[in-house]
Amino acid sequence: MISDLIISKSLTELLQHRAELGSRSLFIAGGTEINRLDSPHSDGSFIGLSMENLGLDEIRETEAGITIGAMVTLQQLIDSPVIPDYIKAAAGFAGSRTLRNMATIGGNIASCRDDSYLLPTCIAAKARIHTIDIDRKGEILNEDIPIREYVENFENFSGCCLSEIFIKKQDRFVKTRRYSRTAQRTPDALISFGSDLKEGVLTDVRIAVGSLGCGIKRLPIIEQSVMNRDLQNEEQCLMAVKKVIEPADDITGSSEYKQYLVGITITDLMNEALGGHER
Amino acid sequence: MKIACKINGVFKELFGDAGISLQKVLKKEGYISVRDSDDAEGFAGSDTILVNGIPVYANLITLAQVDGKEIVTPESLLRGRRLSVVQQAMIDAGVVQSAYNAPAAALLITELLERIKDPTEVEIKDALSGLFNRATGYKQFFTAVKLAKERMNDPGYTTEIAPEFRDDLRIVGKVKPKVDGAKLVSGQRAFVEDMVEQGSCHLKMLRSPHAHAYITQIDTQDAEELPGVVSVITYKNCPDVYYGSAGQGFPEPSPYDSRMFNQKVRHVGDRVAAVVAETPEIALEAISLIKVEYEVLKPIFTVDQAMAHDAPVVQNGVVEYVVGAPDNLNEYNQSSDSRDGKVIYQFPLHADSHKNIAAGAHGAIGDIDSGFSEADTIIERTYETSQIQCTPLETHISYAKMDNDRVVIHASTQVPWHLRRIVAAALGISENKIHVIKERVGGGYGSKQDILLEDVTAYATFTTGRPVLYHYSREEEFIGNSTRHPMKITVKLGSKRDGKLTAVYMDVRANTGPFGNHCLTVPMNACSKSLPLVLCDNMKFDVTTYYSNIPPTGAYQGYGAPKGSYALMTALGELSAELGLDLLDILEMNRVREGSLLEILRCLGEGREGTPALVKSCGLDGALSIGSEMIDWKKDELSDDPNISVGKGVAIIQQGSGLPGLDHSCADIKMLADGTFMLHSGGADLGTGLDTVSVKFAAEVLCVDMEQVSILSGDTDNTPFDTGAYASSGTFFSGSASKLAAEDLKAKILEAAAVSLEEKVEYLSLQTPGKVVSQSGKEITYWQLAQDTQAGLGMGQLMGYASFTTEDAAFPYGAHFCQVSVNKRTGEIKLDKYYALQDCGTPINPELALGQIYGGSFKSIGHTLYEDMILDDNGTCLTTDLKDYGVPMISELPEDFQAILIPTDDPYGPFGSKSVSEISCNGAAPAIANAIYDAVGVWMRTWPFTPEKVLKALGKI
Repeated sequence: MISDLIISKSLTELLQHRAELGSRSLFIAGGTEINRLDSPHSDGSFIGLSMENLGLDEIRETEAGITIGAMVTLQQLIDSPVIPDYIKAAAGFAGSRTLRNMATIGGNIASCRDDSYLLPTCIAAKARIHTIDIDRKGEILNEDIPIREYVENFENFSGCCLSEIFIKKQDRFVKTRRYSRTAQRTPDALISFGSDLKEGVLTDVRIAVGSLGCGIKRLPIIEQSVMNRDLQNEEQCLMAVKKVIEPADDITGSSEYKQYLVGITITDLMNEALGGHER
Repeated sequence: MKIACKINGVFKELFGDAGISLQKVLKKEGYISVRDSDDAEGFAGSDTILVNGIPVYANLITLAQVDGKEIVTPESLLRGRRLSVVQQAMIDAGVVQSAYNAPAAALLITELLERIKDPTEVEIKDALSGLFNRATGYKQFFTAVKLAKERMNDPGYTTEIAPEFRDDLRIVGKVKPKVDGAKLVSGQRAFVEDMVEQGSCHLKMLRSPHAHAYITQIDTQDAEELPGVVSVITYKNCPDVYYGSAGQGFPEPSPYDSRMFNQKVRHVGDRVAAVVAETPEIALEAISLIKVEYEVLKPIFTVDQAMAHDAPVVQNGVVEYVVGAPDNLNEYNQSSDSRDGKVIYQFPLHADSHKNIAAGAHGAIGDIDSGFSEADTIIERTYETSQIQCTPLETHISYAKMDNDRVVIHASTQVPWHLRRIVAAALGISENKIHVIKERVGGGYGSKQDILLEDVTAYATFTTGRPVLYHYSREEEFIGNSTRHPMKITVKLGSKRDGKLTAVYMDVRANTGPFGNHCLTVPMNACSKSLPLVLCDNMKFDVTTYYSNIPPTGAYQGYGAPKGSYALMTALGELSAELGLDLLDILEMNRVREGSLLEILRCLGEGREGTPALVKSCGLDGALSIGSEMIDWKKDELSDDPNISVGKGVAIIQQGSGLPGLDHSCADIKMLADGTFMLHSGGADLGTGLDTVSVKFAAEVLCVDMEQVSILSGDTDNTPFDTGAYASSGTFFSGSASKLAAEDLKAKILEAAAVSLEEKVEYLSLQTPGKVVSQSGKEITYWQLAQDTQAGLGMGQLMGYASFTTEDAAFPYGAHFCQVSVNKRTGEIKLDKYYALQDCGTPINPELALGQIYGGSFKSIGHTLYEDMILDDNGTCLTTDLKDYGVPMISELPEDFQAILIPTDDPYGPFGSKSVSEISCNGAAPAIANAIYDAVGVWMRTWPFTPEKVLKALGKI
């Protein structure tokens, strides 16, 4: 549990506190990750920095896209008329409405869990995130980066505050399949596929997987194979998956089983994205 | 820190650490309905509150996060003593059973109806998606929401909640509010945790990190010296008394193979040391200061490992017998190790503990060899069941305190009297020095038949004089609680070409884990509750139970029956496939029916000689014909999706109604000064409605309304003896005692009225409401009669008493049908339809009976498809929370889920009733296994039926 909670009046104040307290502090959005059972932050040595009341709980729609504040809850995503269905579906992977009322998009992304509800879908959707930080001179540093970069370099972002998520308005295929025995059991696998379709050809493919016991992974080699039309059938897809990813044998199933799920799902989603066009 | 907030409309200042969970703060502030079932897992929802109008989990929010906010707890729903519309609707719909988080459910439904006036089923599921309910299977929540919604517009609205039975009776068989419903749904003091006094000590347990080891050194000095530590208990200073945790009738058919603490630890999570301290935090710190050295031994986890000729011996203690010791016992004990302690048998159980055999049983009727030689077809299949957790919402809890020289134990137990006996033995004191008060039980399902923490709690109180609370964490619930025994069951069937069985053989190898509680009876039950379902002249069974180093096993709803039913009914499915016959035809040809004599039960007494039983009532005719029609059994269903195949399955099931010849229930009832009644039942209501059953019986017999009868139950000082609530005994045994006590009182009322009215007893009768009338037209009210008898010159207070035992058996029966869609590409199994048709004789509380059927069926659907206790190579449980373990929630409900009551009139059961709850757990596994085969042609022979197993069976991976 946290030893104290600091409620800031502005983002600047929040970042100042962060700069002052450093790794002894934690940003708290919904708090479900910090306060939960077996939280790595349960030893009482951390000071919480509340992100409430900083204007980060809004969803804004512009012509370019949708900006989602980090404090927007998963349930608010589902209830919003402007959020794309694939994001709503990913938010719904949190099977409990009560939990969705508390957990935020910012918290879910920033905790970067292997079984993150949203990250694989956000990667497939080519979402971008906005981070803010403060330098030694007190200057506020804003950064706008692809979410894949955030995940790939997660350690480098541990000190900064994730403030917003941006999803471009686009005619893009994005779909995620979650395999789990129950709606709330730790999933066996989570596979997201995103692509554009230009003249019957899949482009800009993003494939991300999670819940495999080996962290959130993007599969760039397979993405390239899809775009190169190298994966002509399910067998080739399964072979390709086996080469690039080795899921853990754990309570949700064997590595072989999870590779199989990833392989068939990529095959299925690729076909769906093609929408009847040939591979 | 201090924060200000509004709670239920009132401004409050709250104090505490910034990071303390709001649930703990609210509980301390007296909002006791905000409970905790998951240690901040954010799963079970017992801690649901509203913050600024939105449902959240209070144990996932810290105190600091609610500064300036508005909090609403379930307490807000009650207006004085008046229930809200939602709370009343929940009682009426029958969803308030063990009810640990019923207040939270009421809050969620209230919020839903404020948000959406006319919610759909999908919206109801969504609203309740964060609430775990183990007791009633969710289905009746839809009725509760509908009732509440309608009554908000029309307060007088009513609809058929459940079918009613027995037109000749006023109360029995009718939908009536559960007698403790209001108390439970409104979150009043009801559970053990609500009885804990300020200043009580807290007990925490140091548990073994090894599955099998001797403790070679244990140093508790630093822990004992820590300020705030009151006591530390280890194997060195605990009583040198051996006992078993099984809450069974004495003498138990289970060995006494454990002390309060042992020098040998036998599973990861086994007791090493208990610390009693002023606060839980101090107790935990003290635990970290205890230094233990172990000599680690090779562990065994499976029956096959336990059977190996060079297997490590789990219970290598000195064996003793109270009666029936073999002649070579001294020689046998030569190889014992004193560090293993003792294994004491009350009588022989065919055990060989030095070969890891905890118990055995063998029996046969007819000639099994000639039965197989007559057969045209023989199949032999082996099935394996897994270790399953009961997962009650209320984790195990015990609170003890001294009252002069007596230990008072507030318990969440199914067996108050066995608890008293076992604790008395453990403490070395007599039973009159112990008072057990069974509080409301927030889910037991069998696991609260065992004495898992009351012994050490009572001992801590007895030795320190301090009140002591011990409340299991959710993790302890997984590693230190009784579970369903894993079993390996081989079934061999012989039949004629037409499907007529000629021989049935069942070989049960059970894994009892580290201790032998229930080691004979659970595995025997796998035979005794399955083999009598089929009529065959030649039957044989072998039962052998092995010790191992898995977490403890014990009783779980259904006992051995879910495993035996799975094996036998799936084997019959496999036989039907082999013969090319319809499974339903095979069942019809071979099944038990009314008038059948169950000869096999002669060999299946529970620790004593059994007796053949005559089936006096059997509802299988109706269950099979109605069920097959409901599911359109003969019709092949097709899916639009080429990857999906649809199949149907069925299983017939049975259970018992208590243990004739072993169980024993008593009750008394007295007339109060105004002519109303106080009933004292020994029965232990677990939330299933046993108190309501008892009150209904008394009110029916005494011709009064239920409101005229109050009940106190399960209190060893203030109610008479009862063996307890297990083996489906509640209605049949405890209910019978209440009925007979009321009949005894009725006779005394008539006798007293005869004096008052100056009439002969034989001319008098009772009449509703509450009076005695004579054939000549005279009458006297109970009020007047109470005055006459209690006014100083009368015959004294009128009291009835009954002690009920019987040799007669009443078997409940059922047929479960299901339809599944199996995705051949992903292995996913979707339960499209599940129909549970059950004969419980006369359903006494129809709406609660339906809830029991839904709850039991849904639990077993969970065991079949989802739940999994997984151990690593060292025996450490990897699934110690509800999410990883995989309990089903409302989102997993079968698309079409129906429980149907098939009434029969059993001559032995009170008002024709039989048991209803446990049997509901027996159908899912075989029905679903048969349906999966029907869909995709593969047999699922191990629990749980996961997508991965389906894919493997299909050769996809």
